[in-house]
Amino acid sequence: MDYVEQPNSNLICCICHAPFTNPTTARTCLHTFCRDCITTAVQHSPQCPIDRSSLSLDDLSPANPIVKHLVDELIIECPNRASGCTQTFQRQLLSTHVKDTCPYVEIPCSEEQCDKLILRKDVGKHQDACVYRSTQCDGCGAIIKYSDLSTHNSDCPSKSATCSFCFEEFPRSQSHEHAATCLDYEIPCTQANNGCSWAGPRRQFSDEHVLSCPYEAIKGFFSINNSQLSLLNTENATLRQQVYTLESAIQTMRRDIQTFRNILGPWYRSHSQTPIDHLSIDHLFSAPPGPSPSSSRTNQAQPSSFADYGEVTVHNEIDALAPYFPLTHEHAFQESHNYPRSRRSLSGIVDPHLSQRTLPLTPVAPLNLSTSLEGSLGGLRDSIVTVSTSVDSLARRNDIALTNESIRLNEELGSLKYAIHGIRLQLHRLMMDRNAQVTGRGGELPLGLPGNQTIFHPPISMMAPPFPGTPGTKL
Amino acid sequence: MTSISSRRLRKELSEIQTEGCPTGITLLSADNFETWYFSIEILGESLYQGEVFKLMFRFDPSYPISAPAVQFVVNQESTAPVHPHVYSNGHICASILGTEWSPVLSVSAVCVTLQSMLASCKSKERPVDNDRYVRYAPDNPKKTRFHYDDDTV
Repeated sequence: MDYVEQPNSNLICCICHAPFTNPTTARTCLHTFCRDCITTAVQHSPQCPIDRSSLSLDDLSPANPIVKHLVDELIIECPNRASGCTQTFQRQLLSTHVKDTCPYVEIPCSEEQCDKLILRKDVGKHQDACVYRSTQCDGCGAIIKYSDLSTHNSDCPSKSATCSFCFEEFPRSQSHEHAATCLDYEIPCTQANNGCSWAGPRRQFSDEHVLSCPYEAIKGFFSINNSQLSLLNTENATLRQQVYTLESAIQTMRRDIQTFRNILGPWYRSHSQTPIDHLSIDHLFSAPPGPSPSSSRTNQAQPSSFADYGEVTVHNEIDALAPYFPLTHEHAFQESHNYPRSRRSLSGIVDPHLSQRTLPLTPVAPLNLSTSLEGSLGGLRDSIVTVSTSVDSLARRNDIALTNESIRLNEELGSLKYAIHGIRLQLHRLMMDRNAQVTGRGGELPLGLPGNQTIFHPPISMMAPPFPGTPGTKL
Repeated sequence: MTSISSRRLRKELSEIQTEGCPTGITLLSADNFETWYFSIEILGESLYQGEVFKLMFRFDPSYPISAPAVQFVVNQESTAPVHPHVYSNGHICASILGTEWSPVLSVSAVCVTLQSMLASCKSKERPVDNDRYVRYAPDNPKKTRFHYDDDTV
């Protein structure tokens, strides 16, 4: 900012050396500065730049209004002086001057599409020359952009036009009427749709061409033919629509079937296989085969049936699954019956508890393949539960039987041991008597010592002869 | 900040050019708003009679809020004055160029202060730690934290 006169030195900020802008006074030392200058200075070092007394931002307040008025009323030159504005005004009017009046400020053209910046003094000149200015058509009176004027002139309805055939002049608004009546106007044959390629001036058409045109002669046939064709087209469209609907329905069904097939997996059967399956199932359950052939068949059939379901023959697969349920139980039942019988024959001593025990037999329903997949799975699950319960109870029974049997055997063994011991003593006694009779020295050898030894050490006397010298002790 | 500093320097320069420098001080060059050179001599009775020194002012964008970097130029043509507060590399130990700087001070005020500092000198000697300081001194004296202990000069 350039001041017209040198401002009073009392109005100069000692930080920026220019007249105050937003004069601000420190409340403590009453020195005055520009607001920006003193704020920056205090932030840098919290003291008054003039007398170094401590000063904070809170101590700053706007200066006396007189000071503000004095600096606001200083006369300055326009900042666009270099461009040519020679005006001078009070400093407080600067923004108004630049915004509204200064002729050397660039402002945008008032036309929206024009993006030029023009000095305010040249605005009037530019408005007459701006290509986007509005202008009026001298023919029809419409308001249009100057840049669109040439395009408008070529189709303004009020401007005159010339027919290119008869060279007659008429206002453009009547060009349609002229085209419909002009005798030199080139028109196509009315049978052009049916294939006539003739085209020529209107006057020739009615005079000459109609008489010679081969299409014109069979006009009646064309009309009948056309109506029939359109009928067929309509029908064709309807049929096409129906075919499309049916195709999409089939598509949907095919998808559904594929989904079901995937869900069913090995349970899926095509129609032709169904009767055979039923036969095989009946056969299986009416005559239960022995455990060994059925289990071997299971081993063969199982892997293939689960590896690629869908292609596997259902016969095999049912064979593979069916034996698990009824047969396993039968097998277990037989086993549990055989067990006490064999024990009985071996030991010869009958355990009353074992013989009286009745085995609970839960009959398992045969696998019903005619129900749904869920039903079959439910049946299978039930069968497995039953089997596991049976196996469990069988194991428990076996445990109890085994314990009882071993206790009983121990007791029996003890009694046998005692019996044998008694027999051995008796035998020894007899042998001693016999020895005494044979040797005739029964009186010399007292019974006490060797007899005592044999009694106290029965195993030794059994294993090794206690009297090596006496051959008669052989047992 | 940059604009404040350059506006202020432009004003100072125009004042110097219109009103002239204080006696004994001459503006040598001020081609930009970053580095100015002055010549300074002590008039009247002093230990530095007849000697002319060269001062260099370096301004950063925060001038005048922060002090300019001021030092004597030391090269083939000129040397630093022998003074207890002036190091042989030209750096000046003066509080107004450091902690005691105030935005109110100006280039000519600094020149006058230095002039009086030299004029009041009683013995021409280097600072006691001159050799150690000069060896490690940064290029810009503003980066040194001087300890101002003598306020008699």
